[in-house]
Amino acid sequence: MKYLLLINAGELDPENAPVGCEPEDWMRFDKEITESGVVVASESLADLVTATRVQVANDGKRTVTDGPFAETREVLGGIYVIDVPDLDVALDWAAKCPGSRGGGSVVVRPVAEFPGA
Amino acid sequence: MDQVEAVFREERGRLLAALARRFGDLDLAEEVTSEAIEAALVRWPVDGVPPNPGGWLMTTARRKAVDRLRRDQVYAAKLAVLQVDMDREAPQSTGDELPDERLQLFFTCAHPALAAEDRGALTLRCLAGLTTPEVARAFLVPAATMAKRIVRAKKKIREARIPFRVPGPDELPERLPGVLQVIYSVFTEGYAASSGPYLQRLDLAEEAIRLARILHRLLPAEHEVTGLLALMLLIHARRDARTGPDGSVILLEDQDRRRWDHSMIEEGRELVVTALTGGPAGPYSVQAAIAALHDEAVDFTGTDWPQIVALYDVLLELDPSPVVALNRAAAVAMRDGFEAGLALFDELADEPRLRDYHPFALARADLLHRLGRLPEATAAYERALTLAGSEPERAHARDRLASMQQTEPMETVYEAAGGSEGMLALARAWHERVMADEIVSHAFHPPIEPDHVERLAAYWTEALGGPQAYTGVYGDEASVERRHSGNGEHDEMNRLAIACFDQAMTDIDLTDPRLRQVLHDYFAWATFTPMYQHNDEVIPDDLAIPRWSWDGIQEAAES
Repeated sequence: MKYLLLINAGELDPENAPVGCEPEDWMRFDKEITESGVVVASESLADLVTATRVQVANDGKRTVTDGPFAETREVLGGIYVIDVPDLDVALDWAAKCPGSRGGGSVVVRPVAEFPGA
Repeated sequence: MDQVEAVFREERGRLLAALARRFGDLDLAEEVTSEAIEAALVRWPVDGVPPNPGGWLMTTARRKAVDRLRRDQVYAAKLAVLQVDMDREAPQSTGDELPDERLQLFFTCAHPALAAEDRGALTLRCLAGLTTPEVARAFLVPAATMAKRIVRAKKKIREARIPFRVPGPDELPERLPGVLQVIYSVFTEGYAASSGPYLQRLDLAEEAIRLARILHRLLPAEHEVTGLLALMLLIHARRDARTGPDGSVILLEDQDRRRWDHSMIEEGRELVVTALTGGPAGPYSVQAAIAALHDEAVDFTGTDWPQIVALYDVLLELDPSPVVALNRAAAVAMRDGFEAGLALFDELADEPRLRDYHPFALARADLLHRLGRLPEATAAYERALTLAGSEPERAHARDRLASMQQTEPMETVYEAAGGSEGMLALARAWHERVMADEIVSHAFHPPIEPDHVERLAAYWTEALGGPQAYTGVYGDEASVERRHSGNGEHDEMNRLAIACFDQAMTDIDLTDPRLRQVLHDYFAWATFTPMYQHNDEVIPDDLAIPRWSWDGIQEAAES
């Protein structure tokens, strides 16, 4: 079963890096989860200031705006899609992820399965 | 019929657990469990009970599940992976005893990924075998609301794939408390209902105990499971003594201990010993030990309070919560005195969790009442009344409040302080203190009456509710006030005289805080008011001696 791990950074230091986890922590975690063979996809997102929002109104008019910028301290910083037997295994990986520390969080969302797809 | 249903209720949980594990879906498991039981109710009376009833039910239910999945391909596809798992598992040998898989179900129902409010509901539904309307009644919500909550929880289990498994030994310390919490929260709701007409809801408390018994059988070596079962038994043993015939609240200190369930206490005590033996004690075991000490005590004051405070100290280390601190403070009040207890209560007053906590407000009000701080006690009882949950709790707080308002105790202050002898002793002690004080003794120059002590005792006797011992014997109020007046400003001397009075009370072993307070208030008032007239011309002749009672100065009685 596939689960999406949404990694929300917690507190950021002046250089916009998450407090409490070093790049080595991330590299160690990424190596471990990749080698375990459960990773379907993984991406780390560019800085939030590069975000752009698109909305299309009912009349087809497209609106493009800069942002959105985080209104809360939590900022989506990256994702993993993993294929594991059940929620407990997914939660274990989420807990190992450095993003769950230092005030950050990892939200675990099961990926919908469509029969016959 | 009821007997048969009782048998099936136990069997139902086992069956449900095994099927849920096999198919990974509680809905399907519930559906076919019910169908299998219905089939048994039809067939067994005709064909006779099969040699292996559990196996028969399991086979029947499993067959129905497979039929259902054949008919409903979409549903089957959702569970496809699990079906493969199921096929891979060795088909169960129908002759064997059904393995008990309820432990898995306990952990699934109490899974931290489920909403806290849904865990208890699901546990009651799946493991205690309650119907949805029964669970709704247990949590005091409409059946439709409860049905929705259960559907939502089951959907999450299925679609997020919360597994049916027992956590490994390394995870158990993290996960077991969650299961115990679910059971204990069912129990506490039964112990003191959060709302409704009854203080206790014995059915809920009994369900919780039943669940703990099952869990204890499944995990006999887990000390905290044993501790939780012991705790609930030791508390539940007092159920009959906790309410009056009209359902009113009876506090621990007023309970008729003969009405406690002594065989249940015995069972609980044996379990506590097991729970506390071999290995560090957990919070439920320590609470059970505290409950056992209460149950063993001959009466409330004869309770081993030092030991109870010591156990709360241990508990506070394990579970540093404000509620534990509150219980400890209440025990300290019994060990070290109400004053010491109240000081701890005041330290806790700002805790957010206690601010709206009925037991805190009530216990604080009782302490203030016992200390004779009546206006504060009244306010505290009013607070307790607004926070009370069930109707009996409200009635209890109302009664306390009413008893505060009709204040007039049978005994006068004069009687409480030992009558004429007490007055004499107090006057003598005060006189000695005053004469020993460099500054206050100045008040007695020029020399005063040689019988000043007797006169003072007689005056107090009359002022504090005793017989008319002064007026007409030694003089009257006007003569007393005139004798004490016209001496100019002497606030400092007054304060020292009051301090001497407080010391005098201690000298004659007058220790009751309520009595000390009322005497102090009287003396301070008298010193600064009637005995402190700066000009004797304003003192009229027809004054009566001011009367002082438990709640202060009394209006002059009409005669």
